[in-house]
Amino acid sequence: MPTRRSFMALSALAAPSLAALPRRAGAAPLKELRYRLTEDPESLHSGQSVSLTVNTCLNFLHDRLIYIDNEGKPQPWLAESWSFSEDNRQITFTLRPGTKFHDGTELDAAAVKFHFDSILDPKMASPVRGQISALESCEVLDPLRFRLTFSRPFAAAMILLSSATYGVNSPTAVQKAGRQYGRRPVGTGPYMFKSWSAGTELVLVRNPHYRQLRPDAVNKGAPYADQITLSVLPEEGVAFSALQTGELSAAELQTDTVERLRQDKRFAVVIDEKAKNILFLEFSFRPPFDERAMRDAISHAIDREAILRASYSGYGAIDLSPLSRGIPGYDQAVADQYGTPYDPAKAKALLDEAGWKPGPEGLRVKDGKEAKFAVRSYANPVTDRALAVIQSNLADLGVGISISTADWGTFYPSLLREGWDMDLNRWTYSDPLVLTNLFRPPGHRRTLPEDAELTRILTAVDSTLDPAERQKVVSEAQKAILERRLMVPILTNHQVTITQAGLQNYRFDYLNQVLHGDVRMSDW
Amino acid sequence: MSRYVLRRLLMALPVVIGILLVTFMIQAVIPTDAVSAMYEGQTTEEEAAEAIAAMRERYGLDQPWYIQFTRYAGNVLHGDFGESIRLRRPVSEEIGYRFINTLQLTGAALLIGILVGVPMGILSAAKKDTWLDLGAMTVGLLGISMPAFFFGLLLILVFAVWLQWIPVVPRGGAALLLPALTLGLIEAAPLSRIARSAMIELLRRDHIRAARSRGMGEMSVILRHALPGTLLAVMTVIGLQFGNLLGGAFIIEVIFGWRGIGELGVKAIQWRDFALTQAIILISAGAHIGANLVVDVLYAWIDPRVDYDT
Amino acid sequence: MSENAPLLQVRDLRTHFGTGPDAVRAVNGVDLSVDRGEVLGIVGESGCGKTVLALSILRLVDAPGRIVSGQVLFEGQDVLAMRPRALTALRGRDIAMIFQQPKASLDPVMRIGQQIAEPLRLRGGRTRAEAWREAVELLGAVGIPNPEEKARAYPHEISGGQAQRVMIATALALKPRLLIADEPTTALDVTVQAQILELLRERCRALGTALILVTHDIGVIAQMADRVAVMYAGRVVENAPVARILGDPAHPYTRGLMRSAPVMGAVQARLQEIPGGIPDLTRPLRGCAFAPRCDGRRQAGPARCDGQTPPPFIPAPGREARCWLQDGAPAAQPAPAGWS
Repeated sequence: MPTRRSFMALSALAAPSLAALPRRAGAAPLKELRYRLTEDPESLHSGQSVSLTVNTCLNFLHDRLIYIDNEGKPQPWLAESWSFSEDNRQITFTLRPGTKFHDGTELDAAAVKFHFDSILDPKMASPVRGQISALESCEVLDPLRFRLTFSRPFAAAMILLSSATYGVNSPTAVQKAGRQYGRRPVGTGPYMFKSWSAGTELVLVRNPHYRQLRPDAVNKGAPYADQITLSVLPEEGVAFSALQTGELSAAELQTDTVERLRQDKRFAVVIDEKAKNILFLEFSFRPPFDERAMRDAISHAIDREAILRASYSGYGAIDLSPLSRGIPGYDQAVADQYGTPYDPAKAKALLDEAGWKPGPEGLRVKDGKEAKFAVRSYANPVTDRALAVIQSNLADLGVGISISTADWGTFYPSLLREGWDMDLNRWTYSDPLVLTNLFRPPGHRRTLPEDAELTRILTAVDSTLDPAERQKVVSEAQKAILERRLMVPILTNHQVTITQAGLQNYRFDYLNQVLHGDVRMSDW
Repeated sequence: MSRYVLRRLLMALPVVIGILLVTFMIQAVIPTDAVSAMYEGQTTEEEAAEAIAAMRERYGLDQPWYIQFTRYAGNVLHGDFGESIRLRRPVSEEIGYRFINTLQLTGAALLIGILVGVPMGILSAAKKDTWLDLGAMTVGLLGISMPAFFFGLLLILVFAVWLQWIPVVPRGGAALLLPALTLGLIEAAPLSRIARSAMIELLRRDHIRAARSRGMGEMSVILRHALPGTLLAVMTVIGLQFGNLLGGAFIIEVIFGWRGIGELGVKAIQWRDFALTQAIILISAGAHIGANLVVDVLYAWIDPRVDYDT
Repeated sequence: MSENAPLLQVRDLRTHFGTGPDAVRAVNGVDLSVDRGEVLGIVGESGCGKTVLALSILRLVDAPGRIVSGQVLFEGQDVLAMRPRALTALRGRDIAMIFQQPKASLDPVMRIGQQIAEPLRLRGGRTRAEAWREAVELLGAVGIPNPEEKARAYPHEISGGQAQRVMIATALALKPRLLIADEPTTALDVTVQAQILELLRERCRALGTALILVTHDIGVIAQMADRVAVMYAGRVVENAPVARILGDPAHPYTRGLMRSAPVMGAVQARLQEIPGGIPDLTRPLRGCAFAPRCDGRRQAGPARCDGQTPPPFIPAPGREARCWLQDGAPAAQPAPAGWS
């Protein structure tokens, strides 16, 4: 019978012991590529998430119906052709024959319908539904043809359909796995799912039967790597270290970290200049921001270059247009003509004219009101630094701002209520529809005044399907937004990825996705 | 003794319910919700209005908070902890393996902490005021003041990047090594200080002097007569630490990507994922209460002077 | 070593607490001797240094106390100069000690029998079973009823008196030649005191163990001691056979002590006390430490008593007293240095 003393001695030692140290790799060298994920994808069920990380993962597993070429035009991929109906509300697709899912079943029109149905199904409550809200139904016409019906002409449809979350799932697999499908996806892409150590790493293996149908790809057959490992590494420091020891083939890093590896010959830097995000300042249109002069002055007072340097170490481009450069339809001429470049002298003059006189403590005063405003944003080191620059810019102008930030889930809904004058926002979207979503009166936060002309133009952006016509309308939209000084575009940041020097063909297509079948190490 | 345990468990119940209720109300008061959090920076609510409505309905988010709570409490009594909004799957599935992970990490870390800290503390007490003592206590102070964040990254730098003894991204069992070491060494610091103080205090006692007067060697005296009391004191702290850590040593877990309760808790809060947050709080509270109870019971079992039933 | 040489000889022992000029001189130059089988009582008021003296003999004084100088000769060997191993060997086997708070001196989480058996096992070479049996026997020998049962008890389950018996049993387990008892009955009920003292006397006699009995209680001295050393302010001021101390004390302090002890049967309005208090031991004493309180001071003259520390005088064979009043008394010679 154990005495108290021996119990204590034993209990001091009794605990789960450390597991064995890592074993060396197997005999035949595995051709493996290892990448970083900044967070754990919550699920790999295509069509049920709008998360960017999930999209990144789905990009390995799914080919899509179409892809977007470098001019921003949709091209056939798994669909070999399509046509629009008279009223532009329906698109009929014809699939290429012979595409198989990873489980050997056929990709046919029924499978596509199954996918769209699960997006539309209210019981599934898919967040993707919100993206493609104009979609009403999908019908099968014959084994290789299906038709999508929209409630109205929906110009953004093609760009949306090319994103990874519209990669079709194997209906057989979905039905077999039920709720667990998100943990065992089956698609048509270059890599197949092998295992998922929940939250730690995702392992994919080569799809030996893969055929690459995109002409812009280098490798038309099965991918080069035997295996892909996606490691979840939220910490910059850890990812950085892993890159240095060679444990990652490539990693997207924050710009501060990038600088240290730029000069290192062991690594290469890949910059995605087709980024589709935009950082911008918005107005609440409550007094005095209903005055054109105030909005004008602030638009000229922002030093975009300084913000780019502070927030992204210069990796990006300043925007003078409300549409970022990477989105098809960006109009440089409009930006040059109607944009508001940094001009502090002009800003001061505008305020002087409008009656905002310099007052005590360096703040301007008009009609007894001080130029002191509340600015909101979401909490992030990037916005923090940007706001510091903005605050300083506006202080030079004689305008004081108080800053409050919170996480997105708190910040964004709060903009629907009063209590703020300006907000710093950032949006990522691949289609000019973003202008409509954000700025068609009353605007995404219900702050914009009624404006019949603006509404007309932005609705046209949504519904004009003819590419040439659409281009015109999109240019008009950029002009209209700039003329009215609805917001102050600031910059687009470019994603920076550091790769091992020996990594080849790691590049981004028009929609910022990598063609993973092409990527290889130079010594394979 | 069993009556005592039962009493303690019964007393714990209102505490747990109270914690749940308070957490629930806090979440109800915060002006944000899980569904908005999902659409960060890409989709306006208008676009997603239908989807958002469907999600709200599915998870009952449009009900007043007391109805939501009652529904939740009722489910919990049936063992149903609800579904995670962000992950779209039952909470219990996610929590299960994560709790085991945290348990592993905590166990390994405490083991290291005890094996390193307690002997160090005892040695310091035995050689009080010598260079050994001073050195050990300085190292201990360092351990207490060192932020876990920094220490973790430091260890990665030293062991994985410079020495290359283990990979930065270890797989399999080796992944436990660095996080357990980081947490363990950090835990060792307070443990060593407590062991030292307890030992020093005990060595002042009369019965130690009496033992010495009987001609027992110093080491003998320490191990046979001072150690039990020291271990008792240390054990109390260990018990409390265990409770804390089970709630999730989230900093360590986040840095090393160790998929435990703490790391999930951080994410759950960011996502405003109500069901996940509640479940994690529940586990955390339960762990604390359980650990405290175990320590008290062990105490009574080990120290013959303690008797709870009277 | 001859049969007549004393078992223990303490020479000019000094134990200080703290360092520097403000150190407390708790034991300030003490000379003592104890013969084989003798019972020496050390008596004095609280703070006179008797406990520190007792602890110093076995080098059990904890920091910040330290033995500054002197010798403690046990059977000719200086305990203060011994190496740690020899000291550990000496303790328990040759010299043992019991303390004032018997329950506190026992390990609270160890069974009593185990605590007695421990020295038997670790130092006496017995096996577990043998040691346990012997421990039970020893418990019986000190008068604990049901020793087999009681041996399994924990210290908090027995009374103070029983605990002291246990301590005595443990201390005498290895049959030491000298037992130091520091106020062994002070914390006990009066009724139990007599029993414990009786037990001590009986056991020591049976084993031939000498006993140093430290106490502030004259009654205890009267009952137990063969010889008494009176301590004041860190020094022994008088050292004589017990009869002399009680009947014919030579030192004014001893006289004061005897006078202030309550006497059975006597009717007194109030107890006689010695006015004043003990001196500040952080200051080095000049002159006789007792001088400020001494009623005999007038006789010897302030210069002598205040200015010079009296050496031990020998008023009669086998007695000594540190008092200038002795100078000039017939046969009172200053004791030669090192005499004991």
